[in-house]
Amino acid sequence: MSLLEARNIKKVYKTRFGGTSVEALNNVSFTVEKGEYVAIMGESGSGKTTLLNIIAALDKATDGSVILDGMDLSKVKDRDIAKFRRDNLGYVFQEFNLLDTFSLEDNIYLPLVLAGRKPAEMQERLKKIAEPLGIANILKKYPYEVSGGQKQRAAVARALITDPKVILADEPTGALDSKSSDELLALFKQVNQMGQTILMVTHSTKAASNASRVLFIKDGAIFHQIYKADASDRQMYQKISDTLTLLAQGGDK
Amino acid sequence: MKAGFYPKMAVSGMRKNGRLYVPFIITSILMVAMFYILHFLSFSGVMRGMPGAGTATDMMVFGVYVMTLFSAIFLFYTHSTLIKGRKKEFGLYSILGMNKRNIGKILFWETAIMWVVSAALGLVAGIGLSKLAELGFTKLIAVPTKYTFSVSGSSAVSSILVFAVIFFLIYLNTIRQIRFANPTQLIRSGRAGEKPPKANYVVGILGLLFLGSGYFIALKIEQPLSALRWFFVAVIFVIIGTYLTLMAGSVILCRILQKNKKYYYKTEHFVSVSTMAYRMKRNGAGLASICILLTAVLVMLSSTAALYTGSDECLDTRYPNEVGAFACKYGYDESLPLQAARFDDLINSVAAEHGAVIQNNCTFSEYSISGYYENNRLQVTLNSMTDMAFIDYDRVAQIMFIDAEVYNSVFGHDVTVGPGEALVGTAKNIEIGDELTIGDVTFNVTGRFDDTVTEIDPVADGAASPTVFVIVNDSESVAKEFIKYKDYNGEPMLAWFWNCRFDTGLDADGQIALASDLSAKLKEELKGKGFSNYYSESHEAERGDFVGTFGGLFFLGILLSIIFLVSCVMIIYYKQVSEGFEDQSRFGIMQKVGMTKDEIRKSINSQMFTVFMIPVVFAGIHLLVVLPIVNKLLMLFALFNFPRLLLCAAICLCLCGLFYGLIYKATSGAYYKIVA
Repeated sequence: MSLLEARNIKKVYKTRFGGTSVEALNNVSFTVEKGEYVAIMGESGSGKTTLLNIIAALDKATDGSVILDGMDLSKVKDRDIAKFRRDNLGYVFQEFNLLDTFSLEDNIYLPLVLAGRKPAEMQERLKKIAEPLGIANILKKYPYEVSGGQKQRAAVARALITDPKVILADEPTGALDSKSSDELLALFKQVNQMGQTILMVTHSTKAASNASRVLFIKDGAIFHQIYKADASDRQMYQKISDTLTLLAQGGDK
Repeated sequence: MKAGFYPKMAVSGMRKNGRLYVPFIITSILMVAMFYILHFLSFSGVMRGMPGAGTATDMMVFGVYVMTLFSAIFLFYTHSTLIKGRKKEFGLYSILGMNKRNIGKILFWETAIMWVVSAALGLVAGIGLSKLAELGFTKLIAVPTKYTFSVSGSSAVSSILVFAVIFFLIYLNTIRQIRFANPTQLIRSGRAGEKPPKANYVVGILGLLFLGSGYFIALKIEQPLSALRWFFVAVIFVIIGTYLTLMAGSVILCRILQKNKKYYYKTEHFVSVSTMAYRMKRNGAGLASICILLTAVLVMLSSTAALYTGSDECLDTRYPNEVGAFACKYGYDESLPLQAARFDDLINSVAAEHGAVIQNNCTFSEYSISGYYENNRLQVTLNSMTDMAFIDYDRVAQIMFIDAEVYNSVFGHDVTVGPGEALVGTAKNIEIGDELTIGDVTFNVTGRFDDTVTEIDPVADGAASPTVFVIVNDSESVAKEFIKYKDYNGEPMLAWFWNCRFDTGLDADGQIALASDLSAKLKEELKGKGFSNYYSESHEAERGDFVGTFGGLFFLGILLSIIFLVSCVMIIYYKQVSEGFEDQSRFGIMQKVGMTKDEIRKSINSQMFTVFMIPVVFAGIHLLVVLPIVNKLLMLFALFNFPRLLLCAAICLCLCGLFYGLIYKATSGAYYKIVA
């Protein structure tokens, strides 16, 4: 059984007075296997962030269902949804979304504190991931004191520390310079090799070329997908570029 | 550029940020109103003619200074948060081609407009409020207020000028904030996130020191009148201490809590402690302001309420009998005993004329001499009383010599005092040894009657300087020893007092008529006899005066309290709204990271409750410390009832707490609305 399954997801936005309605997602279905590293690509406004938000239970689908590890997200009660999210999902945002009132350490602890874990256990967990993420010596600093790349690594640590089933990343390299982007992508790859499932939304070809599979979304529907298999990053990059060109030209597959 | 461009930009800029600017302007309007009313009360002489007017005016003048300082601090702080929110806008202006001079001009117009609006509306509010309150109050409690509020030009001008200075400082500070930043910095500053405050132990400890020494001085004060200067020092210390403590101390407290991992890493504490640590530095100022205002309200309300509700009691203490009379002559002459007898005849004849039956007669004469006492021993050195400039009023005592025979017959005692012996009584805490030396006369002290000294002088407890009653064998021969002492004008220091008070059995009008008749007769009798002072008084004639005076004070207390509380409301509202905007994105992030709405609500509540309680708790402590002094001040008004003051204070605390709670509830609605 797949770890994550999206079935016929539909999302329709209505204007406030119910006049015109806009279809953001139309019948999107796909599955993610455990340990996979999937990238979702598409142009701005193609509906990829909406899709990710629905999977993260931050937004509700108009129709269809998301099943994570055999659990139907639409069946989770409203008041349990936050708990479900922090126990099962790790989220990495484009804008980091670190709280400036917390030190990096406390930012990373936030989901664990919300889950009521003991300080000793939290420290233990952080110790394991801080070194590989390269943030061990900046934990006491505050977000305003560190660079964007460091912030994003702290955000990754926050996502990883709960041992989530899936990490959802929304344009994680979007606010980073190229060097920090490369470092983050290397990190994702490394985390993925340790068995962590990652679902990433991006419109950076370079970011997507790291993934083991790339889904293309156009006008609210899955348009195409390519597997990396044994291809190198460079080959994958080429494949993705070709597909994007095709997409842009509006041609059929 | 077109004329009127900058003012127009300024207006539109403020309008766009109305949610922040409107409360700010309303707050400064209230500050101007408050300043105007206080200034008016202290400098226009409306308070003149009140008992203790000097003290009350001193306090008011002091209040004006405190008020000015307070307004400056508060407006300064709130305005800098206001500008912080607009830096992005200014950054955009400079990218669009404005230089710093242009932006400076816009800011200048903004500040100028705010000043004009606040000063104008503040004066209208100040004048209107005082008029309205006066009218309403006279109607409501039917108290004949003695103070009518007219419009005072000088107070208006002072208000305008003082706030001109404050706003100019604000303008300079804003320029400073904008000047040292380039456009990109300005644009980013909104997002950059503020430095989390460092726990500043030095400032925190300094705050506690100020607070502690303020309390210490306040508690040490025995004589509120002579130590008025110390009292003001204490108030200033407590205000500074409150500000420093709330601004730095609270950050330190949060940091300490954060160090305690077991406490800190709990869902209900984690977010609130860190958020509080983060914003205390700024909001500490707001909280301290609320606390100071609340304390002022509590002190004003409880003291004036105690006076007003206890005015009958004061009246009875001050005038224990229906009618009283008094005469005083400096120096000594042989005719004085004879004069006392003539007074007796005079009283009897006036009483008979009015058909009064004299009861509870308490008439006696005494010799008085004033001097320094030192080393807690009453060793009066009279010749040091030569230079008025160097008199230390704390050490001046008035000695009253009364014949043992008189003491026995008038107050119903049975004491025997031999020559060279003395019975001593005083309401003040003066240590007197076995011997009492006054000038070069020494008495053997054979006993004390401190507990019953109010028989002789009903307001002895409240007297500003200590009075010591000395019962001697023969006061006249003792007095003769002091004839030689002269004051710096060459006038004799020895004085002869005649005191008289009695009940008449007449109705109120009869008492008043008798007293005024007595007054006329006294005048006739003492014409050309060299008496420096004489009068007669009646319990009933003073009643209206007492109720009027105390009612007036109560009215002032309520008026000022209302204005202070409204300022409190504005500060709280301001705090809630600006915090709401700050927290908006924060709580968004928390929700994304997995915080439930319930948890968010809980954390908001715990945070709000703590922040809500801080000023009330502090104000309560301040009140407790200041109550003994208030009690001593009330003694000057002849109110000797500490339990009543305590009760009034407790009721006021409850009422203010309730009011404050309601306001908080209402304004936190505004906060929730923004956050949710």
